[in-house]
Amino acid sequence: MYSETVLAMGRKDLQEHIAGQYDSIEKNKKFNAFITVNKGADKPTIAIKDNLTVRGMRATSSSKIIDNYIAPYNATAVSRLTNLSIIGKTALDAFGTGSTGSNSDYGPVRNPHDEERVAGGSSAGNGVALALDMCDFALGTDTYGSLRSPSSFCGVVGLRPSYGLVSRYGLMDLSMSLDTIGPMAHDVYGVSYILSMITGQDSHDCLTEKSKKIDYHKELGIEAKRLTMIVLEENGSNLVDKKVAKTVEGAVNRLEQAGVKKVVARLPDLDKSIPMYYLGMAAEFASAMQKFDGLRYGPREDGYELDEVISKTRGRYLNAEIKRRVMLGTFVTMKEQQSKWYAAAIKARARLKQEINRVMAKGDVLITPTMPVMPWKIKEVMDDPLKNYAMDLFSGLAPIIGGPALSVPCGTIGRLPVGLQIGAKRFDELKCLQLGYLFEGLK
Amino acid sequence: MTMIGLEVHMYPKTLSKMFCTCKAELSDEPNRNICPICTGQPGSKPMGLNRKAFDIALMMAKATGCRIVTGKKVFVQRKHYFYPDLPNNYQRTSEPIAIEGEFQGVRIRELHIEEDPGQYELKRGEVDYNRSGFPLIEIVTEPDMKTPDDAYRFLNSLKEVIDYLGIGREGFKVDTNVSTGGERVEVKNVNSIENVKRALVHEIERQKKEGARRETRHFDALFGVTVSLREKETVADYRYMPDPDVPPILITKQMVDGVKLPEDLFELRKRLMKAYKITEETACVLTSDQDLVRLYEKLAEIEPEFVADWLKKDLKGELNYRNKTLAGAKLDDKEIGELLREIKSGKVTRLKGKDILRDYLDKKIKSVEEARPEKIGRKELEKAVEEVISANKEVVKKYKDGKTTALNFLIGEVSRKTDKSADVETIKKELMKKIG
Repeated sequence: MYSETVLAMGRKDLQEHIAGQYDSIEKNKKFNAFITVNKGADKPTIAIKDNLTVRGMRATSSSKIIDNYIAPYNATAVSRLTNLSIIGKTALDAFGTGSTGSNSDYGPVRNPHDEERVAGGSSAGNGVALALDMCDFALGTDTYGSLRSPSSFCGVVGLRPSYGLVSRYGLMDLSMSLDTIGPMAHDVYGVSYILSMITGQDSHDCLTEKSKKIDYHKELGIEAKRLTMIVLEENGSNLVDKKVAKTVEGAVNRLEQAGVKKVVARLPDLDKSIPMYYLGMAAEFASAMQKFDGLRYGPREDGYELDEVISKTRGRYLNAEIKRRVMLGTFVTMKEQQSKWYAAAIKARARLKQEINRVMAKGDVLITPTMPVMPWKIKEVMDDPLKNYAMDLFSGLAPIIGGPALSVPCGTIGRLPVGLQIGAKRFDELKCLQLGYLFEGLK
Repeated sequence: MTMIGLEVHMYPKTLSKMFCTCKAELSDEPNRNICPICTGQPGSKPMGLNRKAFDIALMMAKATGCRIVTGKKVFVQRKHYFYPDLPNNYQRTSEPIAIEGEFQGVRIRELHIEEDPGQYELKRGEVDYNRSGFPLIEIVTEPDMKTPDDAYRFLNSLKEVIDYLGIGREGFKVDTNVSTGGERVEVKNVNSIENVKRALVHEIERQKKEGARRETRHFDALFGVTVSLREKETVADYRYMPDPDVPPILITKQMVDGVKLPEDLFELRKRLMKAYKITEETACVLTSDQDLVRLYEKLAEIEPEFVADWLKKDLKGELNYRNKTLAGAKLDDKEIGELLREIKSGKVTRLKGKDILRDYLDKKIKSVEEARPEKIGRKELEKAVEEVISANKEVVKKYKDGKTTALNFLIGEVSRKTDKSADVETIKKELMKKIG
């Protein structure tokens, strides 16, 4: 009821409510959720991930390479928001390069339920801001789990929409063929409310598709019980934490008891999606990062020759994980390497898409854990990128088929929340939202 | 044996840039026609491919006898390299959209479209992005030319076809590949047809003297020499990959059939020369604009030589003065015909005809008839001549003293007095008679 309550608040209540949010931002600075705070909010508040542009506001993407960049234009999704106040810009793994939130150049984002642990990422600041009541809604981005991971680890709700449903204009690239912009909120209603505003074709993103305008938040309470949910045999992989698996099993049981039909499917090659993703993403990312040379925006190092200026600037201001991915991406797209790596990744993606679609055909929604593990300690992940990458096990199901996926909290282990992922076929976000809404009501 | 191949970049005439809606217009004011897209702001994305530029590329493909690639997705690729004029540090360039052509005896390897970078002023370290994102069409030839003159002729013919079709802007950028028996040398970024010839003449001479190694050179137009830029071995790997933000183009047979070319330029010239007995030069002027040819063929029956002369001097002159094209001026062919007949029959002098044309072009009159003057009577002319003589006694004296050019002044005065309704020859005769 959180979102509906806030949206119905009178001026005075709202003022008080927002003042509380500013207090929390001030009090909880150590969580590193915000990079820029916007004063003077007077409508229900929304936090915007810092890799999205808001005209006249700083946009760092959590990377020092554009530390001082003021965006001269609005992301389309931002310009479609109505009757909301932007309360600030939130931290992320720089340019989206991470699933934990600890790769921000403005300090690792800390889990709101245990500050020694990661918040999930890359839309980490959003997860924290919602969990610690610093905002009512948030706009995040999701390439391969980026808004679902922090939703799961912070105990909030997030929806990755279908590719082509929401314009990506104004979203700083990570992997262009997978990047999406989506809402995060305290509840399914909130996520649906924001989604209703931001969908629709945009001439500034020629991969957006013509779609019927749906008021998702007005369609939530119906039909969910008639849906068929698909669950993966043996959780799809032995990489899943036993406690997580058990919590999700419990959630599935509750849905079954509520009358939702269940079918079981096999998806044997799921773990192959991880190297496929990292190769393709790195190739696109290296290309996208090419423009950050210190000449047009961001800080610049001195040098006698152009090459020197560019390599010194990039050397100093791009962090280790960005460099790792740029180097990997450059390597796999080199002339003599392309066919071996990049082309193979593209082929693997097409195969996996077929596989996942085959599973999806068995029902309406696919239920998995959002994250296969519980949040690591921040220290643990810093030195082991591969451990990081393994967290993306279920993150690819939706991006690979271009479909939507919702993460809703489904229980806790100790103080830490667990997220339930509900995926669907492309443009079937309403089914994800309806089932999520039903599940919320079961608790 | 000398072999020359060219990579010709032409600018298709479009209102907007390739991937954004900025005006495709240069300006004295740097960075006037720019937006987040053509300056590569973080988060910006290309809009759909400029359809007009693409259609023009298809026309050029047909005009150069190429086979258009149909039934296969053509990807827009990213070509990566670092340079300040390139806002994303990659250039968008399509895969070939047409291949295997032949134009003026030179085989065409392929034709594709790409976006132009901005303009980098090296000495001041400043970049003007007005040009960034301009559409370009690149036409790549086989090394079929043997002399700088061959290359000159090829480019000149290409330019004539582009003008005739009315689909290009002023200017070319040409990369040339020259081999005189040894390694192939590339001379990049030559910016006019004349300079291509100069660059080639110099480069061939240079290779004869110094020999050739595989390298890229730059043409210095001021000194007329080519200067080494880099050895080929150190050339960057551009890491071509499809741009994930631009949907590939599938060229259908309907799209190809939809592109209609007018009569072949070179055939047309021959036909005009034969049918109307006009000179090659006149035929060339008329075919510099297909609307002009169309108009000419409608009106030629009045008198081929005279109409051609009038169209190329009077009409073209007035249009150029107003910076208008024939199509843009929206003239009624019938009115132009009417005017020409009046001039031809002597009812209106050619000089007065020009006034009428001006008024018509400037929309001061709706039809030629409105402006048709009464032909001046003999008596009125005599009167005007007498008045001019008595008002300009000094000039008349000068003329009598042998300064023949003084007569032109008097003719002008009479013509003005009679509202240009008498022709020059008649006035001259009348003046001479009176002055004696």
